[in-house]
This record gives sequence, C-alpha cells and structure tokens, in this order.
Amino acid sequence: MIGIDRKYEPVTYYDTCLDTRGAEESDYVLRNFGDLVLEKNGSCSVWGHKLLYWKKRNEWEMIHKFIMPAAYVAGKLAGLSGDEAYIDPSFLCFSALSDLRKSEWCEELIRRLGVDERKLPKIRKSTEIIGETTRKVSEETDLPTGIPVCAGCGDVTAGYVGAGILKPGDMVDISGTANILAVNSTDFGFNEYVACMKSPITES
Amino acid sequence: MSECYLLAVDLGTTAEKCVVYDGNGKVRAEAQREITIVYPRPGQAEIPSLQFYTLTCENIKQCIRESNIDPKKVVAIAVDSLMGE
Repeated sequence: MIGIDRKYEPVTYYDTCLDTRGAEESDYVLRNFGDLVLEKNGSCSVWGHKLLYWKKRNEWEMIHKFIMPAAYVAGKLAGLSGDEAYIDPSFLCFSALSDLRKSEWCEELIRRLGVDERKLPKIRKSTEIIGETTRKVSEETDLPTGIPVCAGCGDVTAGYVGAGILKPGDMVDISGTANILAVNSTDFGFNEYVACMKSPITES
Repeated sequence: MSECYLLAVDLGTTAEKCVVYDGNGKVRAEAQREITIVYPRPGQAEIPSLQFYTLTCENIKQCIRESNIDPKKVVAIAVDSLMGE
C-alpha cells in the first residue's frame, strides 16, 4: 500500500509484504483478532496491520489516505485529490478490515484493531469511471485530455477477465506465485477452512 | 468495430507494463519497464511510489509512438496492480 497526502502525492514508499517492518503488528492482529478477521475477510491480514505500523512513523501526520498502486496511478491519470482516494473491492480480502460478503469496510474490526478510519479510502467499483485524463497528464503522456479512466482492480482479478471466466460456473486454476482456484459464482461465501478472495467485477 | 483503442496498465513488483489493444482485442503495441526495489537493510524492501506514475507515463508514450495510432481514438484506460500488498 501507499500513503498519499491531500494532493494525491505519495508520502511513503510502496509497502509490500516483501518488507517485514510490520511483523510485530501482524502478530498482534493475528493473536488478538485472527478469528474475527478470518470470519469477516476470508483471509488473514496482508496489509491492514501495516496501518498500525505506520501510525508509529513520522510520516503518519502527512498521510491523508492509504491506497493501492493501481488507484495511485489511475488517480494521477484522472487528477484526483486526496479526498477522492479510493480502493476497489478486489483488494479488500487481504485488508483484515472489511466485511467481504458486503464489500464494505467493517466498523467492528476498524474499531477493535484501533485503525484510524479517516485514513481509509472510499470503496469504488472496479468498473466505475473515476475521471478523465487531465491537461497535465496530456503533457506527460502524449494522450489527449478527456479519456475516461477506470477504477481498475487487482492483477489476479484482471487476469480472471482476461482468462474469460465471465459466466457462472466458469473456473480457472492459477499456478503462479500463489496458487489460486477461482470460480465465477452468483452466490459468494466462504468459511474458516479455506482462504478466500473475492473479485466483484460486476457486482451491483 | 469502428476504430478505437483501449489502454491497459499492469503494475507488478518487478516490472510495469502497458498495452494498447484495438477494438477487436488485438495487441497494437506494448511497453515494459523494470521497477526499482531498494533494500535499506535485511528484511526491508522499499519500492519508490512515484516511479509507478513516471514509468506509466513513459510506457504510454512509447506505446502511442510505436503503435502509430491516433491517440484521440483511445476510449478508456484501466490500471491493475498486484494483490495482497
């Protein structure tokens, strides 16, 4: 995740799970709220606990919102402000802070983990148009102004669309850095036995 | 399908890609640039955030140039990035 300021400029490096500085906070969340996180999110925390880590850093006061790289670049292309920062639902499963069945932030988890809700971006659908290319972007890319910019999504989710699993019942098996078996379903659900992601591309 | 193009951007941990598709789904141009990861100390890995945007701009420019398309015919842009981070 990336911390951005009110002008949509990054004030942190892109913090990935390659970096172990949030290990203490990860352990804290797992030990104290692991069952609730799994019940609500379908997966353990991959990045939500990092908000607790950054709260201890000097950059904290400058951070207006935390977002994903896709939203950072799309937002820059569309000239968004920090208040317009967003996340799309495909990233929620690893947040430890969502109610994944509803594709919403989970107030209970946010409160119990002690996360500052004001630092979380609003949730926008992957298919939403968030804005259009600006004059500044036109100068930097050779694109004209006014091209619609889509909210976008996580790469695995985009891969599902590319693989063509667009009808209920379609399945894909991904043997990558992580092994993922995905099915297109109109009836989403999960339990505590299998880590589960959700890619609500067309969910209303 | 009338002449139109889609611009797709993929942000990974090792490289950033950009592809121009035409209205029939055919690839018209693609560009890729490596992402820099900084390792200040053991267990620490920092990816400078700003480069996601600057490399995207360079990739888009290259795709527009090499595809010889009319950029006014680009009808939408979408961006994805790796999950679980």
